[in-house]
Amino acid sequence: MSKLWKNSRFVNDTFVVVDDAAPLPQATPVIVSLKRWRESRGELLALKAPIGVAVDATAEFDVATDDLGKLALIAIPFAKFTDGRGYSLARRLRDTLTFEGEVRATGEVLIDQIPLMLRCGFDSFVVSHAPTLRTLEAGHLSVVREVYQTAVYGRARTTPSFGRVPVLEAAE
Amino acid sequence: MASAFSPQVVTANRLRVGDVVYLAANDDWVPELTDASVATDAAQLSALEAIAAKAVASQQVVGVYAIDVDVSAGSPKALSVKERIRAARGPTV
Amino acid sequence: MYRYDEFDHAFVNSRVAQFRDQVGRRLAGDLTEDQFKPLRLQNGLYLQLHAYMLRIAVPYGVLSARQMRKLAFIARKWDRGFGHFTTRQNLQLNWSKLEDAPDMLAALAEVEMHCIQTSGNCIRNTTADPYAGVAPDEIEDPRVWAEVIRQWSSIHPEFLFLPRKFKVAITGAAEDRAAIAFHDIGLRMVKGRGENAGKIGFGVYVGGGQGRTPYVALPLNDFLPREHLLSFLEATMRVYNLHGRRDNIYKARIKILVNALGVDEFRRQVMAEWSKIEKPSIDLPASEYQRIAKYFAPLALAPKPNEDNVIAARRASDAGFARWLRNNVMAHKIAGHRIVNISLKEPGKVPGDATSEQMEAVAALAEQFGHDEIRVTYQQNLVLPTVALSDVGKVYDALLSSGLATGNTELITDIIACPGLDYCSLANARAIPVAQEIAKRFADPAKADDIGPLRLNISGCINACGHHHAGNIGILGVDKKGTEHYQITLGGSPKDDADIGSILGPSFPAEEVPDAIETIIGVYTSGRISKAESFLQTYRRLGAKPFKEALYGPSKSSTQRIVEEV
Ligand code: SF4
Repeated sequence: MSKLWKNSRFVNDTFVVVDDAAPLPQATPVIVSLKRWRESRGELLALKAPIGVAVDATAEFDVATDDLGKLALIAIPFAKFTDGRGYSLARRLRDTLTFEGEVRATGEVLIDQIPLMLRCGFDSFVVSHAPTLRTLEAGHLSVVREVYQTAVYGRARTTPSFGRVPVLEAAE
Repeated sequence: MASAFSPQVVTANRLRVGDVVYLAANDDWVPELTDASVATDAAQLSALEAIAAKAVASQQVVGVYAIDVDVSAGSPKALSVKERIRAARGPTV
Repeated sequence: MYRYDEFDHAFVNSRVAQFRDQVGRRLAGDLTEDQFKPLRLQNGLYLQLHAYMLRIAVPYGVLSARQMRKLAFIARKWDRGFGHFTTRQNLQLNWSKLEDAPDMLAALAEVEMHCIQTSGNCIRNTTADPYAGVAPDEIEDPRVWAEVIRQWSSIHPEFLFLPRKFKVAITGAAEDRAAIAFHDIGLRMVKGRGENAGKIGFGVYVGGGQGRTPYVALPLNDFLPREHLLSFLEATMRVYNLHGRRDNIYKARIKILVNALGVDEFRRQVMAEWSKIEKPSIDLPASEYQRIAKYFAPLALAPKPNEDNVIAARRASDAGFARWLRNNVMAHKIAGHRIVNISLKEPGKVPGDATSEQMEAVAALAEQFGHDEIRVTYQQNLVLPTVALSDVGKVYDALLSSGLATGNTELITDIIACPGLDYCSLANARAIPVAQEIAKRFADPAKADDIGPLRLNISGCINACGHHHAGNIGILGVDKKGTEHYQITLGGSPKDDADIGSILGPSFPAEEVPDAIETIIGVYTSGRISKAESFLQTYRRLGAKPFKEALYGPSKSSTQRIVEEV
């Protein structure tokens, strides 16, 4: 069973993941593929509900047409926790494309990587690994709070310049 | 093809300390290769591997694999150079 | 050298606490080995052939006496009283225990050291010119930037799960002593020309490396203004992280990506990424540069006469001293001072190994005569970078009594050798005994001197930790039907004329290797124009043919033998 962890606690997921072939539900926040977003942009916007897009780890965003400002959420998968592409995708979204919505980590999301994901700009996590769930419930993140790099945390850039700042207080 | 099966023993390292060990009788892990249990057919090897999998799951050992041994002298002797060095528990220099 | 401030101390202490917690969760069963392995690797802990091995970072090869003493202490308390200096300027302890590792890291943290990212698919310890700060041919001290990279790369959240490991080397001198051409990224400090006249920046090279597919690095950026180093590295790393291959471990290094795309296309992608990065948020602020640079301010040394009567007299009467002086003692940028190389290559000993007692002896010398500075070289030796010429004799005497006075720097017995099958679980063959036998064969110092500068490198497998590709003579351990065999390559070079050695012919069993090397040396000494022509120069002039013929005979071409071997 997976749970959604956000802002340091477990929350109900208001979004529904919709397969490419499935009909779009009305008045419900949905997560669709990047392909469907590109193909059915008008139809999706007409739903008047928050729209999320699930990309894959090879995603290249098209700044000209993807209109990321209209999206409430982008979900980035970690097929394996050792596949680190998602970190770079998230940083591109936050730093280069200045995406302000929710950046959600899916797939193999483990306790020891969540702090790294937070620092790259992820702010919600679909967690199914039992020890990770347990540890998050206990409120125990094993974190090195001192960082040397620019610290992105969620939507707030905690520092404008080369690191040396304690971060992640907000994650407690 | 039981006749094509070369005798094997199961080896690993102790998780906590890293020492080289071999699976022996009574589910014991022993430091001497000569004390290891030898599998002489596929069924015996599977049985040893099942015991080893439990030892992995209970955080006793790590890095389990089977090695070919020579049993012509009675107790098992490693065949490859690597496993001979490993069984000697130290470098050759 | 750099000293930690409160922040740096807090950082390494947090890291130790984090790893202690991770080890605890591993032992409690909350982490499987698959989940734990990358975490322990990122703290330098491997599971090797016999035991866990802890790889301690020696950032850009720089140590203080206090740090060296702590290494000796740690080796004695938790290991077997010795350590192995590596071609990455690090120190490996071969007999560590997982349950002790957090305490070992805590002991290191006390002296501002760590094992962070000495392994794993992340940015590793940056290696540097071992003569940084003291070399007469230096443009700028690269240690400042090596320290900047150390800090920037430490737990960089984006780059801990790269497709594969990532190694950076840096030099600030005219002569490349850091083998930058064989690194994922090589940085060379250069003076700007044209519009950049008067400025100092980096020449950036990318995609060098050894291993299965050796490449010499290609130029990525001719002049990178130094203040933009971090944003440029970040852009380069991001392109690699997103596009490096993850489906095949042998094709995952950046060199494969660079060569698949072509360096021009790779450069275009990096430049595109870099142009989008908000540079001020990444680049080092000038104030931070100045804070770090202060630690590397040159020693206030008064120039002294470059001749010393006592030394000169001893040189005339003591052949061993004269040889050591000639081979191991180098010019220093301040007159009357010297760079002293300490060889860990006494013929017959394990290349790169030092006992705790030897480490302490070197620490004592650094304190007494060496301004508290020690360096580790990628050739697996140590250096006292600043010794007054008048103290050089005392240093020699002390080294002599510690078995550290071998005068063979950059000679045939100064062999680079990886741990090989004696310790390494990836090895095909042993490297150490082969190195020992070759060194013994050339142990007569007069013989080694006569042969002159020669880089002989041995790796126990194609991973090439022993840099065999870059050796003038390279030896690679291979597994031939279950026996240890050795392939010989000639013509590699780690320096400014960087090149990858070519395989000479079929491999040899271990016992034939010293003879084969002697044959090769025979071809060189009889073929050289004069003693001034080095082995590499002679090889480049003559080509491989005479060496092949001497080894394999003219009747059988080596290709035939290779075919037979396969
Ligand atoms: S070259 Fe191979 S044998 Fe040598 S240390 Fe590296 S991996 Fe081990």
